[in-house]
Amino acid sequence: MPFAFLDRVIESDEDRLVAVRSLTAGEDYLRDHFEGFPVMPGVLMVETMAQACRELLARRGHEGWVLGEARGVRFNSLVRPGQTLRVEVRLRTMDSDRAEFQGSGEVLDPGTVQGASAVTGRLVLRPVRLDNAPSAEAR
Amino acid sequence: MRWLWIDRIVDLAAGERLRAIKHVSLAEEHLFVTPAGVPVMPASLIIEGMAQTAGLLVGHAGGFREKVLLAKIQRATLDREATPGCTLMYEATLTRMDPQGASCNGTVHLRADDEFVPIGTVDLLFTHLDHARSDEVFGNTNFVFGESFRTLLRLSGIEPPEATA
Repeated sequence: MPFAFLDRVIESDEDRLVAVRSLTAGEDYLRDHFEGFPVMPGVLMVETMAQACRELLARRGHEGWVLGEARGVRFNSLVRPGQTLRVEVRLRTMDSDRAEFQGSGEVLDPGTVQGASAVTGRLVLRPVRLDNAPSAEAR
Repeated sequence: MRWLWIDRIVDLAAGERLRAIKHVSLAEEHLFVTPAGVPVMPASLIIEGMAQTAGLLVGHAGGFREKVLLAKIQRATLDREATPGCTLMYEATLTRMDPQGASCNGTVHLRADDEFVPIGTVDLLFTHLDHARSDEVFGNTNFVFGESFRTLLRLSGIEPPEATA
């Protein structure tokens, strides 16, 4: 399964991006999270917001940045199969090695455009740092 | 993609501390490939590894009676990427536990060659689901600690909770 959590970008401008990710009952990890009680893991809400941040940065010419920090991320509602997570990220500050975003997500029932808050928090993306890759000697 | 983000519990001080490891393999399908072509483990899943480590610590401290759910990432900071061939070690310390939930502080270590080096911290807040949402009925089965976790606990030499399904 590709680790892709944006089904579609709904809106975007220079500093803001809105995207959706629908949860389907057939996703493998829902067998474990949880057995008989499938809900979207909270960290996948974070991943959805992080991928929205990465997409916004890519549109600004910064490819491949990764999540480096998450602060004050609250999980407010469960997202169940058949529902959709709609995330919105806003770029707050940015320099050469750090982009700070405010993110939020709401859970939508089928056919609705507004729902309850599912997640809120601040995310920081940064360029990839590979200092700890195994050395040739160790391999 | 299954939902188990630790491979082995390496030690447990009940009610205090739990350490677990996770190998990073090129065979895993969740890796993010950077523009330079290097696959790295997504930070969100490293946070989940710590959440599972800390969640097991909290669950074990409560006799696995509570449905332990991640409620808040207070703060997570990760300074380096984990690449295939590396091993992650999660060390979670219980800082608070009461009927409503628990808090844990965690340190993430990465071993690329011989030694583990710290690469970040993850501080988490958990809720006990039946207390937090007392208006909803979630049943007697503790679905949070399912068969995957019971297998992990057995393989780590820790008595798992009985299946309640």
